[in-house]
Amino acid sequence: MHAKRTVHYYLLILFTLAFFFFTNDFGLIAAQKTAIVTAIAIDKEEEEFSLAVQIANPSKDGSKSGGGGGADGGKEEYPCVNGKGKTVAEALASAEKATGWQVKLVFCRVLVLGESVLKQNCFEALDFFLLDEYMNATCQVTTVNGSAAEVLKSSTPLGKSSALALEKILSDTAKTAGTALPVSLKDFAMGYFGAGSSGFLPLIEKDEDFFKAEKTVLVKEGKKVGVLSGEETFALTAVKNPLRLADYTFPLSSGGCTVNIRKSKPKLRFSLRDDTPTLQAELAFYVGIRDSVKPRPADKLKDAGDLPDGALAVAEKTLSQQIIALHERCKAIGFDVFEATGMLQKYENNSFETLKETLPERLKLELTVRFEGVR
Amino acid sequence: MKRTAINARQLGFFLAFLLPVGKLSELPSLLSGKVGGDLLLPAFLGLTVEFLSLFALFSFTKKTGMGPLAYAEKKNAKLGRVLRVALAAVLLVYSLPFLLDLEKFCNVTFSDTEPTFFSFAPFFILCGFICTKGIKAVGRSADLCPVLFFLPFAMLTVLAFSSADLSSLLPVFEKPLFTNVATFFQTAPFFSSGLLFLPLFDGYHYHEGDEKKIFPLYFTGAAAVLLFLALFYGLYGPLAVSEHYAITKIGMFFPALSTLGRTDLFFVYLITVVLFFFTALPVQLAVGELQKGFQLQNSLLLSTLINLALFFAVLFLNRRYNTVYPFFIKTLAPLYLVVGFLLPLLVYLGILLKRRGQVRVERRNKHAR
Repeated sequence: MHAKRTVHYYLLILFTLAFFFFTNDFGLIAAQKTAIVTAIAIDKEEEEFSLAVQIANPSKDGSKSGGGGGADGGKEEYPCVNGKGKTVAEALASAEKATGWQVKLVFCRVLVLGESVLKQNCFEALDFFLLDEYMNATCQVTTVNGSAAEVLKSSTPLGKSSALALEKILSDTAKTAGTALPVSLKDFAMGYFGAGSSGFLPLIEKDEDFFKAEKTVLVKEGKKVGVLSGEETFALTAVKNPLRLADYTFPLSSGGCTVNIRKSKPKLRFSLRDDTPTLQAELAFYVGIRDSVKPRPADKLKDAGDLPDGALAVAEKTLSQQIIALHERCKAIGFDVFEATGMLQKYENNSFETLKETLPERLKLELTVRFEGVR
Repeated sequence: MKRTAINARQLGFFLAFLLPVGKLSELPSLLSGKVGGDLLLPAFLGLTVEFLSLFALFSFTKKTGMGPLAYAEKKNAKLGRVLRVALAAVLLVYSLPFLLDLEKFCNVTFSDTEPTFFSFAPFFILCGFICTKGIKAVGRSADLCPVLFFLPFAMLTVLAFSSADLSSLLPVFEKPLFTNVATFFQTAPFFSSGLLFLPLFDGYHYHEGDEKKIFPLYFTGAAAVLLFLALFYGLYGPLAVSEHYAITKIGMFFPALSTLGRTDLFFVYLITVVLFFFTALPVQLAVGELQKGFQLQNSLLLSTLINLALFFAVLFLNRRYNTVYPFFIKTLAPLYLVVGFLLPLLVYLGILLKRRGQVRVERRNKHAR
């Protein structure tokens, strides 16, 4: 009796599942109709958004993407589809119309914002991605001088996909090595919606066919307000993030010297002293010698911690000067480079409303930089 | 020893590993939207209210040897049956916002693009099956939950720790106390588990020392919820308000996942099974109460009809989510609080006063003799 009933249950389930399958394929979309987006470039032309959507389109013979030549007769494996519209959604839909593909954003790894997008609030473009539940929150956001589409459509010797090349230079390793200041969509949006309404975007430039992201764009209320040089970007990274295996070069009387920062511990403390907002930054760097212009005798090659005389003091002084110069420059343009507004809100909330507007100009920086040699 | 449908271990596991899961999906973004970094305060208030209803019902069962509904039925069979039917109606309404959330949760977790509603429909087959089982099945589900919930939750917590900035929770008490209390009232359904405890305690009988198992396990679950909320806000800060279905989104920022891919989803899938149990629970208990209220022998037809009705209700309400969701969460909050919190407290106070009265009468009689 019991077994007979079980069969009935199974038949019922089978019937129900068959019903769902034959009525709508479980809502699945055929893979051939889906476009796996790897990167999107966004530009603004007058009042319209112009999108270049890079799509992974693996060739049917299974050959891998990347490398130089097109074995399949030059067929593009990462085509860029263009779309235009008054909103980013409309522009994306027009790209869908042109190809018949349904755009899938879950694998989108890079968003490139053109210069024109940052002239106005860039969240006019970015909030579409924040609204989409399927968008990858770890997707990198970056910007360029000029047209974003041009950068995304260009190829590098590292492979046909510019998105992959960009992803490499915007990796976590680049961040800890201080060579770039990459930012995810989530972190950039947190800065924008946070107390200071500001953030940073890595600036992509092309140097002999390769991409580089040494410089950093300062963004306030969604608009570009300045650009940091490679040296300033490193100084900012040294204050903001713990570094690991980062190279730092500084001048010595005997020529240049490069140390390898094995690890660093930045400690930031915010306080109000006699109504003066003060940021205490204590930065400790544990370094070993990497290289120096002057050749070293054999016995000085045995220990990486054995640095040239006075090198640590010079490194401390040089980096301190760079950080102070960065602070003064940002102070002059009223940009909260060390994100002190957020600290003011957290730790001195009673003074937040009165101080938040003038904080970048009034912020006093008390800096201690310490370099220690390790083997 | 009296045989019980749900024993102290199962009840404890239910409180520690099954009950918290209902607070890990939509609640974090709702709290963040109202009080930002203060989200732990209304949550703490809610958990305290939830604990008080648990304590009241536990103590009632300890003193009378049966749950409040069975007690009412024993005193007045007709009244007891009416109460059961009324509670079933409240439970069915209570289940709707959780069903609406679960549908959207599944869309985000299992799909890359939004599927049609029918992809969610098989849940009602599972729910229909669960509803044909009694309270015993709740205990058995709870026995599975330490593995299905605890391990994935611990892993997701570890993954989230490396990227969370807990200083985002500062300053504490940024919002006025009134706002925090009001937020508790506006999210009351998530803390009105007293509604679930009422029928559950019908299947439980007190044994010596049960409180030593049940209460610490409840506190474990409550601590897990608070830890989760803190990590969630630490990860998203001002963006937390827009991040629905929090449990799917806390593990993804672990640095190694950029190379490995979204392996954290494996843990989310395991927790989703617990979420299925949790979402089916009010429906299951409602079917059980209706069966007892109307004195039906077989629950299969009842379960089928109710799940069919819920299926169409969710299909219809799903398209009006923005209108109906606040109605179920905010407007009906007083109803859930009255039935899930005040009622357990009142029945406990009632039995306390009755016992005191009896003791006083006994003493007087003794004195008179």
